[in-house]
Amino acid sequence: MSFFRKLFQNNQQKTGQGNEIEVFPSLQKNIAYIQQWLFYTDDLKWRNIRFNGRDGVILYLESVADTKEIQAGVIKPIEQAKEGNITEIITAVDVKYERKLNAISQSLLQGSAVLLFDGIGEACLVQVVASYHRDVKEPDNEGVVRGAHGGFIENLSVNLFLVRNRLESQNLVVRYYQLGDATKTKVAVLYMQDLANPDLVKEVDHRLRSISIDTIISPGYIAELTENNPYSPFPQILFTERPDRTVAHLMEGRVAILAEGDPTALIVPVTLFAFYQTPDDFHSRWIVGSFIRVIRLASFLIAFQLPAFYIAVVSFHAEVLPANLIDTVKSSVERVPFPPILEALVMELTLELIREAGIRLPSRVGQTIGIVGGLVIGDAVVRTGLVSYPMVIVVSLTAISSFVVPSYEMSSAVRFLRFPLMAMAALFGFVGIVFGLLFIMIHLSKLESFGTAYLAPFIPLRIKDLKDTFVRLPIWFLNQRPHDPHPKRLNQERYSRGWEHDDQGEE
Amino acid sequence: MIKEKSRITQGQLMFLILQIQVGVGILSLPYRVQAVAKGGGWISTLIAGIVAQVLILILWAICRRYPSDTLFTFLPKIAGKFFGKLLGFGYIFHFLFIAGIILILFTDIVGKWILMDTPRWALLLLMIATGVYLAKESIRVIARLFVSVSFFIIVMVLLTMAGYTNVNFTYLFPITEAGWPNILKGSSEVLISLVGFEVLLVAYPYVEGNSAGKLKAASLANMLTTLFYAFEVFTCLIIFSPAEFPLISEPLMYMLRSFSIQIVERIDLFFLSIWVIIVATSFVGYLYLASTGLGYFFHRGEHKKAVYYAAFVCFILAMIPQDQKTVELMNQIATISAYTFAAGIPFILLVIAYFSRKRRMEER
Repeated sequence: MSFFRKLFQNNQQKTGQGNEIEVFPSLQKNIAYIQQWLFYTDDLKWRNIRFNGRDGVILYLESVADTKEIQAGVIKPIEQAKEGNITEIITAVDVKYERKLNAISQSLLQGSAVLLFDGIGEACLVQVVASYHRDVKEPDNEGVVRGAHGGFIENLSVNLFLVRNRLESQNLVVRYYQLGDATKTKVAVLYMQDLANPDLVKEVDHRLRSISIDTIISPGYIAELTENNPYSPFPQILFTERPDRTVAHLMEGRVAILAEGDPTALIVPVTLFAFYQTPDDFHSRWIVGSFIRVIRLASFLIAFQLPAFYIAVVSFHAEVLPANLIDTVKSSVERVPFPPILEALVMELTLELIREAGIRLPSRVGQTIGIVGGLVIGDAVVRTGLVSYPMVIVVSLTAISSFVVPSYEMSSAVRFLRFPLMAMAALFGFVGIVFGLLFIMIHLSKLESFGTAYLAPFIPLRIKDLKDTFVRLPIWFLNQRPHDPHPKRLNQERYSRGWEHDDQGEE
Repeated sequence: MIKEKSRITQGQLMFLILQIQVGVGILSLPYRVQAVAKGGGWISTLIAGIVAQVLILILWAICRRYPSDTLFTFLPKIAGKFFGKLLGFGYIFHFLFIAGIILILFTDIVGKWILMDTPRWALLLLMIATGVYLAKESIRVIARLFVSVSFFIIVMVLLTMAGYTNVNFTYLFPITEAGWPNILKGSSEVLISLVGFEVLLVAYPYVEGNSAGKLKAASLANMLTTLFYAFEVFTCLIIFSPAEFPLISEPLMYMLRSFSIQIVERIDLFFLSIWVIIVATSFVGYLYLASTGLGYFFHRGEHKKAVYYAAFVCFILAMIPQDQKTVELMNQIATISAYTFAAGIPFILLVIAYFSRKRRMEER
């Protein structure tokens, strides 16, 4: 056992680099130190200046800092004033002083211009980071018909703006973290002070702080390092690129984690049902919205059970089918030389291949994949008698229903799950499926996401929250927030349609 | 003490008992009752429910005296250290044996109705793997799952309702055809299917709330089980004539087999699939009870470690019988064991606890 533990566990302690060197009095020495610290990288630039009668230098990384900003906000005022107090003269917003050379060099990487003067043991750091970002566009993977079309982008401050803009409340709190020993990725944790459970916030803080890794690539790394059960096929953190969705979750008392350089908000804690909700549910009429949500949840069942069910019926329980149907199915199945499980496996794997190929290819070539998939796999395979017609129907139905899921992660989880279920169905028929489902049910009822039961409000049962789970009842019915993130304040709606009773007719 | 995280609510206690009670016996119950009590079988079922209620009262009266103790910790307090431990082991064997019997009957019926050619061990492994996966969790997770699968009992009732298209109430009469002694004897057949309320002995301290509420939950569970059984027995009694009964050992299955809805020809297979879940919950319940005991004796209260070998013992037990005779014999033993550990011993314990307390009061 201990051998395996050694193999798989990784409990290395962090080693600090305790050399805290202060700024040297000599300008040349400082420059030399910083140059060495950055291994004489070529994008380190400096410019000599004179201020208060002392020789000085402005250091910056031209790749990160905005040279126009340096020119207008730092060099120009200094050249004009010649003497005085630095902080008063410089027009840039963020100015601070620093004594440690390491911190100074680090701030260069983060887009600061460093002002050093001969004989002064302190550096002045001016934040002049350049920012290049794309437009706020609708995320391709989370489109909606109605409602806001903006999406997060790869810039943290723009993303925070998008959230703040929608939620102008004093209670919205942002906490910054720096994750990744090498990448120093800036991560923001957002929550509502008056709603989010303090235990939850503490737990998120604790888990983020224990991350000790060189590289952070959001969202996958953060999710895998913080989720409760990394061995589960089910995603336990909701990824979304939509600010409106993020705000809705924040207002339910959940916590959102945003990272620099990635347009994804990680929402915790979530339940299985959160993956099956979209903003569209709330923009369409509630009857329609409920109907669509029921269809989506049905697709959850179809996506991983239909192939298993088909295999069980064809290979074990053909008598389940009524007499006239059995002829149709059997006549097609009997021509196929393979057992149903093999037939299903080949088809399902082909489907996965087509899907994977479709993602990676440019859209112009993607059409070819569609034709190849549709014609060759769909038609030719049946005509040659390698696969039966019902099998093709089953495979395409599962494919469609797995793509109905609004979350890509959940869709993949569901599509993965049908393979073990198919194997169970091939071995034990209905009994196998039942045990497979029971196993999944047990797994789901064990699963927790940051202290919230994954199947809430279904397991543990809370009838009040079912109003917005399988169906979506009218918004004025949802007087209380969902209970699963244990929000501080439950009430969210108070008699909004009171006007209905106001008009008593005039006397 | 009981940790906050493993507490369950009274509603969860109800479903816990309900799911352990409703189990493997349901398919053959109408057959066994009818054989003894004839048309009065449904009365037998109700009587058995009342008897079970009395037993629940006894168990509750013991548990109430030790509100923060499970069965294994209060036994030594009542019966003394040695006898307490002995009885504790007795209960563990009882739980293991019932779990084994559940497995035997499960493989028997599945082997008879759907998977004729599947080897017994494969079915057992399937059931045991699933059982272990759940039984090693805390009682809270188990109770949560039991609540959600209780939905399937409603489905079973609905499926049985399909039978009401073709009924003959005259089959019931005369109600006392077999005579009251036989009806009472029939209820002893039912009682063995109603066991499962012993879970109260272990679950009691985990439940939130006062003792009256816990009794209410347990009684409600027993009532629902009894009504469910009575409904199934009654339905079978009015569908099959007394002459047909001796030929069909699983009347519910035969009944559903003869019906079909437009798109599904064999409802019985779906019924059986649901029944598998119901059986699995009973099995998990007993496996959990046995491993709690073993965990208390050998692993300082951690039942998780005991689940694996407890399950292995069940597997061995279920592999023993090779013919119908051994199954019958083991069934007999299980009946005796159930009467001893669910009725006899608790009653004696209650009497001892009562008198020892009285004596203590007098000494003061």
